[in-house]
Amino acid sequence: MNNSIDYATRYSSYSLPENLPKDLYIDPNALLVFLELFEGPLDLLLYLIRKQNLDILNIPIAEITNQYMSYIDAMQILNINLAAEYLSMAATLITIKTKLMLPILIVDETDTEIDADPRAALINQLIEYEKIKYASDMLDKREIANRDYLWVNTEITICHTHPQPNINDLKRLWQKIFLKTVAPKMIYNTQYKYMSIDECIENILQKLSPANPQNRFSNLLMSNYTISILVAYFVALLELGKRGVVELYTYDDIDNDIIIRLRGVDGE
Amino acid sequence: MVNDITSSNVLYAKSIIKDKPCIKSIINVCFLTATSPITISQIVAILTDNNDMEITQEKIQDIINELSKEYHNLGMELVELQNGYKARTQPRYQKYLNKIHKITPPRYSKAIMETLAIVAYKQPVTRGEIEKLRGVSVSGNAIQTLLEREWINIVGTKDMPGRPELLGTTIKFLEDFGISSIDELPAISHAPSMETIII
Repeated sequence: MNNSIDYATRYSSYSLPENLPKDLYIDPNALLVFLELFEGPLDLLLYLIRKQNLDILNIPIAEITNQYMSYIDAMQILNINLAAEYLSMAATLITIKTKLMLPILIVDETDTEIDADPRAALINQLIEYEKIKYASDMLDKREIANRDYLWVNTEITICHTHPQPNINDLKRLWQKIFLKTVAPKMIYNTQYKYMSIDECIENILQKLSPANPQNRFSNLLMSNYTISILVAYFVALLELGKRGVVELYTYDDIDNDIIIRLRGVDGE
Repeated sequence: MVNDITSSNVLYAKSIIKDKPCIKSIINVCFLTATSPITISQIVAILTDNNDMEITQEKIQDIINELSKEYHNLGMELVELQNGYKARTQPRYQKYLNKIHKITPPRYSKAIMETLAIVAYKQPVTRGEIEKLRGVSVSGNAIQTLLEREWINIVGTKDMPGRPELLGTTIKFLEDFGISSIDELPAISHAPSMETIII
């Protein structure tokens, strides 16, 4: 049977004496590795059944329970972190054996609910689990991307970068703002209002969002800003650029303005 | 001898003389730079825009088959997936790729593979159902790894108390495992000792 071969290869590196684990004369380290190989109680049970070529549909519960319990004992001796499900399975096995030993009481002959074999649920579970193990082996044997092969993907560098503003662009931007906003009302401007650079940064970021990641710098300014606020905004712009929060770029045809764009937002 | 020139070579020669791009080369560069599979109809669509030649699906299919052979001689292979063709390297060269790219190939534990198998064959499934099938109560790490690999994802919630998440496999899973569609998963009904029990 294919399956028993699978098990044989899987466990072949561990020479297990037949009466194991009652006498733990096997190197405890090897035993430890061996016992840790099991994925859970179902895996261990399947191993015990397959190792002895038992009929999965007609499991001798008493025998299997004994063997299962000796493995559990071994695990406890070796201080393997024994998961609760192993113990739960032991309880299930004992329950099944108990039920099998009880005489079947037929209270009412017309009772349609005839007691099924108490092993049925466990057997179904084992069969389902064995299918999964088989499917899992099948998947593992396939060629898997990045393990057995790589997708061919010549990296293409699509250049989305825009012309970066140089010092002259920034100078022209400042001149433009200054001439447009401040110069006309400079003489009679008596209103004193200050804004910190942090406030300006916050204001700028509030006006940018992933949905609307870019704007012209001059669009972020109000016409009633005083020169100190404008200076603060300008420094805030430089600061954001320096910190890499935004990208700054400019085009020839945008009238000495600078476009400020949130970094890390795709698309144009 | 002049007569030996095959018609495709003539076409190729003509395309060079006319400084027209060769269709095979176009398809080749498309495959090499693609991040997702390319379908024949996509190729037909990009070619019909600026080409006076009549391009049929069959013709493209022929060229793809030719290209596939050429790839094969170059250590690659063209695989047909649910949503088109994609080029990949041949598994036998993986050990060299691992060396040059300093790749530590991933290894997948039994727990991960069993969990993946359950999701693939029983989808959509809840975490609880996976744990019940495996008989083990901790599948969290395996599920997390599979989610990170983008082989499975959350496809919905089950209409029951607690509304547990339902897991299913992704297109990437099919691609990475070279499975053309979820119906093409190898059958497990003929797994050893799969007799159904009647009690």
